[in-house]
Amino acid sequence: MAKESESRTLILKGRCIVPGVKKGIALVCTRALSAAGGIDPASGEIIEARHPQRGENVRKKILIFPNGKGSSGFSLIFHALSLTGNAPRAMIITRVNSLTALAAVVGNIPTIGNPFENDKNPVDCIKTGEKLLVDASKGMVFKVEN
Amino acid sequence: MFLTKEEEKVLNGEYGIPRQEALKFLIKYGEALGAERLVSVQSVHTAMAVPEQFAKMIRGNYPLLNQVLLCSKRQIELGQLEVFTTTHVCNIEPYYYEYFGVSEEVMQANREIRAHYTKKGIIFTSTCTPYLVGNIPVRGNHIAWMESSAVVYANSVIGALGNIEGIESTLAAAITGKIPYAGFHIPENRKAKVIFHLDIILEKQSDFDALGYFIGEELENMGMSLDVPIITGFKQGQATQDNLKGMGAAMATSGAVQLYHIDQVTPEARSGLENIVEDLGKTEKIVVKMEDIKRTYDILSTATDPKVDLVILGCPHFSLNQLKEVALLLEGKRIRDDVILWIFLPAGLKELALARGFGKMIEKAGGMLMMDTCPALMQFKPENVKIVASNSAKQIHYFSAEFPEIRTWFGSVRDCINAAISGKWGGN
Repeated sequence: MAKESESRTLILKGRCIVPGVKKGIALVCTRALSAAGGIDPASGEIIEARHPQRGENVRKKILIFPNGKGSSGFSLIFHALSLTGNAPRAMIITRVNSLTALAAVVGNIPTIGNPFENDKNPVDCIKTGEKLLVDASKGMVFKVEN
Repeated sequence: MFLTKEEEKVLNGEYGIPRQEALKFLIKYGEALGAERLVSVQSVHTAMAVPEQFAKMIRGNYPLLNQVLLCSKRQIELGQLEVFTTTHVCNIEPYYYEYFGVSEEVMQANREIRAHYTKKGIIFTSTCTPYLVGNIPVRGNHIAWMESSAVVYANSVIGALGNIEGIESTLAAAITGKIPYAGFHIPENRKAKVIFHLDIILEKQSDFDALGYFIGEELENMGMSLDVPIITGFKQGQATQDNLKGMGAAMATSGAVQLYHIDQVTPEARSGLENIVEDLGKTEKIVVKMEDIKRTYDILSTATDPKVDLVILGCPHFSLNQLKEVALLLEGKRIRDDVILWIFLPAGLKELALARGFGKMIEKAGGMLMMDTCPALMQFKPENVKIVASNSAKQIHYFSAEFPEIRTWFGSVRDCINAAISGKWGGN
């Protein structure tokens, strides 16, 4: 899978929410995410008014966020994102609740959530644009460098 | 996950494919939640309209819809459901659908889906406020409900036990009568972790929306958005259905609150702070000041031009008492021709309002009473509408997300009705 020139550093260990292994570019949301009325299911764009990451797109990203909030349409938006190919490749969530656990399951998105080893907060230890390998099955997040 | 003998039989297919597939789904979901077992539910609030995103794929093929929703490999033909199951709002208004740009074809598809699932035992209340029209859990009931504002109401005001569920998990709950035992189903997770003390006098119902919106946002700022707040200093006499309906909805909009307590008022907070706050000595206490409420009004009022084009009431769906208030405010008055007044309410209350006079008073003045739906789901804004007024923090939040070009005024029902009559915010 990995090119030989790549180096990997384990940066985070958490709990497997939905298994799977995915590589991609990190998008870190610094505030909780709404899905219904928060993410456009037709494009993956974050549309919530006053959200610091408004205008960013979750499509094919490794999506990192503190927690889910808002409407119970949350799972359906992720379900739709997944059926239309606009879902994130993987997710890392600081605190999982019913909204985000369900979204990860119905979207079949490899996801890691709390508890994290040493109480680390993924929102603080990952930066947008970083290349990550997420091994959700083992609950491990690696930073990948060429 | 631990399964009872009965659940194992369900999983082995002894009770048919629907229960087997729904249980498989709940186990996957439960494992994602870290749940150790499932729990029986006494009430379900699901959604059953073909979501737009799936409409083309489904085309009247309900076994396929069930399959998609339950993430199954098999088509699922439902039998009759046993659990009390009502439905959330859908994206179609059955009388005004043409006005909202919905085709006869889509309306017909919606009628057919209702006819189909009604025969399976789903009751189409089509509302975000099931507790206003008969789906009222008993304290201590475990529930599987959609709709954040309804769940926060049931958890906090009624003392039922549940998490905010989605369409997929509530369908599975309707089929199996189960939901993962996690989150707010577990009594230990229902303790308060932060205190909001009211050092202010609130008056209008919209003040409680503003309070809820402030609390939700403040919890986000504190990094405690999934924690349970308790409010102290709340006047017992102000704990009305309408105030708490709006306040909880706002909390679950700006934040992720699924349960709050009010000291000496809500059912789990009547025996002293020390019994409901997790660690009273170490608990952070935020004093809510009038400037917090005022600032929230300002955040929700993005307009500067007093001209109002559209007034939206009924988020969450209007209650009988709110309908009465509007009817009396509108009596003998007329909404200006260039202003639109939308009021969203449950079908059952529209029928009652029309039969008993309040509905006719509102319609005679030019207001539109609309049922089954919500502007956030219809994704429709009349042309030329630039400024929207509402009594609902939640409505303003979601309508602004969908239509970023609009500007808003947030205020009381009376402020909103005055604007509908005069065409101007703050003017009579």
